[in-house]
Amino acid sequence: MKIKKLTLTQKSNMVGYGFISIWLIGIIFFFVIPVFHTLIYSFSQVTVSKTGMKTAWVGLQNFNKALFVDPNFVRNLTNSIVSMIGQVPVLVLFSMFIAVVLNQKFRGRGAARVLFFLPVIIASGISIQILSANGMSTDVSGKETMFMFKASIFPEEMSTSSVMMYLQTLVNQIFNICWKSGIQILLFLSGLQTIPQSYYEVSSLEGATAWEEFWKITFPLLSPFSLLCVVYTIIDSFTDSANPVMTLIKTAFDGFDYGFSSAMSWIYFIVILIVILLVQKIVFRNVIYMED
Amino acid sequence: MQKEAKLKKKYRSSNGEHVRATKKKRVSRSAGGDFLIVLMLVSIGAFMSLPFVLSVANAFKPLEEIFIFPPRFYAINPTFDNFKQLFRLSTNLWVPFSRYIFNSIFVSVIVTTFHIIFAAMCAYPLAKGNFPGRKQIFLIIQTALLFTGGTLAIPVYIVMSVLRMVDTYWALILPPIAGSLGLFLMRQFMLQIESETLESARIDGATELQIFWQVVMPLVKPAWLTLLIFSFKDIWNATGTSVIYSEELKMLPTALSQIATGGIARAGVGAAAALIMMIPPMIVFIISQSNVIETMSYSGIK
Repeated sequence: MKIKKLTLTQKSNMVGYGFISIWLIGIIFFFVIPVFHTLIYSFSQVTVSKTGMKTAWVGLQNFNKALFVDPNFVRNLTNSIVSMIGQVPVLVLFSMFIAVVLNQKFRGRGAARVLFFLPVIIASGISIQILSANGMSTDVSGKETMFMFKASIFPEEMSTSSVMMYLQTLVNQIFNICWKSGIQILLFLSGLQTIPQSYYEVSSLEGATAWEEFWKITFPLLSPFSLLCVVYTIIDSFTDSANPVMTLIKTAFDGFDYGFSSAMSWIYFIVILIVILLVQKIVFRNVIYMED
Repeated sequence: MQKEAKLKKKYRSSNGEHVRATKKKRVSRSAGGDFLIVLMLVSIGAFMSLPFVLSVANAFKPLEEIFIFPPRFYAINPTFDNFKQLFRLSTNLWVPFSRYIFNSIFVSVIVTTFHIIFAAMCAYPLAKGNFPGRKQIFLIIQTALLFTGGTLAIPVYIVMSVLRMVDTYWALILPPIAGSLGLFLMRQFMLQIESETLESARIDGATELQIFWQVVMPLVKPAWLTLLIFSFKDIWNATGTSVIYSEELKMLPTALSQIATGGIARAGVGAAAALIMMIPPMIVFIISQSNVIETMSYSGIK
């Protein structure tokens, strides 16, 4: 009897592996193997010659250069972490709020959804490249074009305290936040579809207000999607090509300094990994899945 | 199996009625609150549509108007010249323009379809299965999300050249199919499916593949409709210039940017090209979103 049961689990395991295998092959070819290559590069001096690429082992030299010699890397790294911490909660809460509003039934809801997704379509890829290549408006995507909306709402003398500084950057970043929230809004919108309507029925029968419904039903049941959005936002802000660290890595890469560039990528990757794991372990300890 | 599907449909439609009932109730909320929400949406929405308005306006502006600073959000003398010129330029290309359009559509459709199917297939056991090593596999996939793409360019190229994929459609198609964001998204949604639903299908004798297609995929429809938008938008804008050298394999963005970035005189053409490039992702978005709205929440069996 026991043996039979074992084969059954083994059988279902095999099915599981079968489902995964296609994907796994892709990941191995386009991620695992390349990543090992960069690991080798990061410990080597890479030279490009007519005969091909040559790697010579230099040990920790590249890492040493990134962490202790290069004047910009560590500073840019801390800067981008700090700005990420400031931006992510606001962005995620904003998109959750907008998603909840857009999920209500009202006239013109479809049009409203398109409106909030427009920036994603414009900012991704070739449209923006063509627009900016013509130099007519250096970046339609960036906050700079919207200089007309950049106003210091708060008087100068107030902006000395750190709280006011934070608020002021927030105001200046309103455009940025609206602009970058398209994907998060969509994720929340589809997350909202998974919450059974019957929960709301029961709660409204019991006399709950919309406010209570949001905090007691919507918010907790959205938590897996909040996690998804937070992870997405963190990755997006770290791997955005405008991120100062990404610029450094790209510059080194374009200058054929592959070893140095790979070393910086590895350090950067480990930092992002730590941030994401911390967020998952601390902030999202209590993610609620429907099953429980 | 069929009977179950029928039952499910019935269940869903009854669920839909419930939904409508609650929606009716909601209308009676305070009019003031609704007004505030609409006001806020309209103001933020207007704010967000400005760049789009600008790029539409630019496409219809004659050349001399494009360079007015600060930029205007309307064209004083709207004209179709930019589009006409774009059309003329595109008919004079070395490779017929229709070839670029075919390449783009072909690659986009294949990548989007298989990305969704494979991501979902892999996410299903990772979310709902219970076999050794699934945590580790998920960790690999999660790290693939985090690793910055730029430095991988050379090793990926090496892998491709070993597999003899450089300068073929494969180089455009395979790497985005293996992207891991979609998988992460699908898994997060599949975790929400109640195990009882799957268990009951299993008791009815459905194979895992049947459960996947007939139970899991319909249940996570909002997820893959959303993934459809992301995936299409990314691949539609991909240029693949580093792995494709044959002119007849290049995609539409490459062709359009070659036409449009020919200096200041082509600025108007560029604006027109940019506008045209925005249309397909927008259509995909609208189709997908109107279906997400129709997919009302499921509540499983309880």
